[in-house]
Amino acid sequence: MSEQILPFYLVCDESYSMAGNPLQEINDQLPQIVTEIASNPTVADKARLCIISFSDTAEVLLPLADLNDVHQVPQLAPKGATSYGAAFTLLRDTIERDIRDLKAAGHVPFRPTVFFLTDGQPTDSDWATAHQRLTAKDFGPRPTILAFGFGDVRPETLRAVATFRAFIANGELDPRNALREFAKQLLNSVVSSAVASSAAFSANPNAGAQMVFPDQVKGYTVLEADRV
Amino acid sequence: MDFPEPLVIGRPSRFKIEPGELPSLDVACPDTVLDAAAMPGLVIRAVSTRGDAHRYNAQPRQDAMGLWRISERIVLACVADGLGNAQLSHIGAMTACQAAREHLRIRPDEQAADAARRYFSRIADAIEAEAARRGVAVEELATTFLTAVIQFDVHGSPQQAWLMRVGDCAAMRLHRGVWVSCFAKEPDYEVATSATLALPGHADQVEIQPVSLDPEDVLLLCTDGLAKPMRGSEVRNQLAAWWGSGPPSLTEFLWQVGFKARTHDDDRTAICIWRVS
Repeated sequence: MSEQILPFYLVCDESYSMAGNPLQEINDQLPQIVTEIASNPTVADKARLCIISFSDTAEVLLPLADLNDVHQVPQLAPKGATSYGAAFTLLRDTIERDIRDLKAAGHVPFRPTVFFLTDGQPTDSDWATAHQRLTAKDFGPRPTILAFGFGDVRPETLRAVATFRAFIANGELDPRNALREFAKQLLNSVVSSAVASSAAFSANPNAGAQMVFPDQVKGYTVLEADRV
Repeated sequence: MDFPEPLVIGRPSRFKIEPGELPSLDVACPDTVLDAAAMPGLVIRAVSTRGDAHRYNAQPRQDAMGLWRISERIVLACVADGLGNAQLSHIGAMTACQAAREHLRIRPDEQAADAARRYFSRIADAIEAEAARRGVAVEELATTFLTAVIQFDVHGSPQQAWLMRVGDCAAMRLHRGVWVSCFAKEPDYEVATSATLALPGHADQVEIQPVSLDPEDVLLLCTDGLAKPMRGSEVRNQLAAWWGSGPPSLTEFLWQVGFKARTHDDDRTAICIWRVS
């Protein structure tokens, strides 16, 4: 039986600079996010979450999953540098395969949403090529990307990564609280989007509009995405 | 006697949802409305029922429907689906149906396309007037809309239906056990989108389709809450099996439309018109 699926991808920087409080906070928040989604009747059946971590390389920590089937949430561990290119390349290949598999199973996937989190400038120079391949118009399931940054990452980098909106920590909150706020936004977006997708949503046929994304996030300054 | 639970098609949802708290509203918008009719040549069953997502979140049913005898020669049936993000979309859907009743004029000399555009612009005007009366933006009342003007000949026998729509409501004919879409095939997207055309903004993009009412056929008008699960063959086949052998009782019809299919928790509205001899 055909089901309506909302795929979410959390793409998280686990380079050395994330060691300590930032990664600890993400590791603390993830199980709570999973529990909340899995226990919400209007969300649990539809939402799927995949977690990808990246440093020198990228890795699928949690394959796109129905969160009721997840018994142990993977943990992030600090290592290496900050290769955006590795993250975008793996993300593109993972999304392509996930969407193909969902459709082959007869399901109806909505456009994927990516929450990209980083605390630093990329350490690879040609990540834009991998990003272009991920966001290209001819890639049917190209995702909507929201980028969140703190630490050393620069606003123009986040704006180039995001396809929809970016948020940069403004120092109002310490990293731990800024990441708690990030986790809250991820959860809100999954819940609100699943509820909204129960009904036809927008009169604008060009909008990917069943999704609900934050306008403002406490402790962050909003940046509009560059046009892809 | 035990009344059967709703039929589950495909995997069951992990949650059993019953209507919760009443939504806070200034108009009557019951969880479910039922209607039925029989006349020479036609039997009609109609239901508009709230989806589990709205039941769980104490939101009103955003679908609406209407069924009227206009004259000896005309019966009007319509379904509307208020857009999910609009605060007052239930009002938009209801207003569209009521306006469809009030503004239907048949001018024999007018081209169908012109008539449909004029008719839908009147319906759009009514939605805009309701938004103005309430002091809200017209987008808050945005709704998709599909209507069937069913015409009878001089002997009172049903001849054909003129279908007109804006947005993603569906019209299907059940012919010899197979569902056939009345409008041209819907576009096949790479990934799904909930985006749709809607009134009052897109009145000029009304689609028109005449359909003949052949003996033994069933004409179904429905909102996407039913059209989407019907993309799956299990639901299509089950409904064909139920409705292909003639009209069910009204209670049975409500039970049938209330089947459960995982992730399909939107409001459902269905008007089924059986052409009988």
